Amino acid sequence: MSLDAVAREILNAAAEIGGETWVKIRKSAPIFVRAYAQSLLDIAAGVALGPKDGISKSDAKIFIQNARLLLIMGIANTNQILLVQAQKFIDRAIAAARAAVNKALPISLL
Amino acid sequence: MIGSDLSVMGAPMATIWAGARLGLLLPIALFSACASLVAPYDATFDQSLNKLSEETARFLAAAESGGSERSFASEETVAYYATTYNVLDRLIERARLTRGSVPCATDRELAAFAGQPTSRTSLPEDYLKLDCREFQLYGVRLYANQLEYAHQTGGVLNRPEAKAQGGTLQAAIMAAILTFVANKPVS
Repeated sequence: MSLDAVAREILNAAAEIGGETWVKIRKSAPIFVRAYAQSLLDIAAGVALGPKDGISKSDAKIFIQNARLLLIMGIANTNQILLVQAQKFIDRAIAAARAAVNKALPISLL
Repeated sequence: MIGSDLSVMGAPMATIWAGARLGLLLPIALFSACASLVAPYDATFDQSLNKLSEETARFLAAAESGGSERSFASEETVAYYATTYNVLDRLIERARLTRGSVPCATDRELAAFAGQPTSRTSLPEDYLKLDCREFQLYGVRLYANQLEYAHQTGGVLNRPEAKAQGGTLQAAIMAAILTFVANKPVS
């Protein structure tokens, strides 16, 4: 369940989708994907501890949504691409990597 | 990595906006002394955000190690959130006064974020006209709200919350710094 493993799954899925969007974002994507992956790991660790000492599942859901927003907005803002283009691409990459990412996390989140 | 720098007629510009509109607006802006496509670089923004990142790291480390920062009601916690919002609100106002003419492509997403239960931020009526610097500052404010929400829930910021929400806030501050630095003139 390493940061590299989670980030790699998403970046590999993104590279496999490829296309014009990937060409534009592939240099800056790793930094934002790693931040997103770190968020998933930290949230998963919190959920695993339970609501009292960690993070409740309902809060985790919101935090995951907000972490996804940061990923999409960060990539869209630092590259010359439309938000909707970034959203579609990132959501496709996350969907493609979902099973592998969930396996790499201490607890399934996606 | 951050965006391309364009030097035109001796005046450095950085493009970070998205969309086909840029192709139409750019020639108009070049020949207009009054229109400003993007705001001029102002070191205050990334310097203040770097300082905020340092203070946030210090606060989170103290909370994680069991200091009084762990408690939502402690003086240190009250001071941290008060000064954080004060700095962000002053930066937001400063950015508004020098707003670029091209709205940020991601402005629309702010409404969804500001509507989350974690939000304590009211967006201005003209939020769809925010430039990307303003957008990023509102983003940081919303992620600070998220940290505060986690902190207030249960009255303490436990270690997983400090790591998860603190980490996300630091990532948002970093993204904001990248946006401001993208406007830095090429030396």
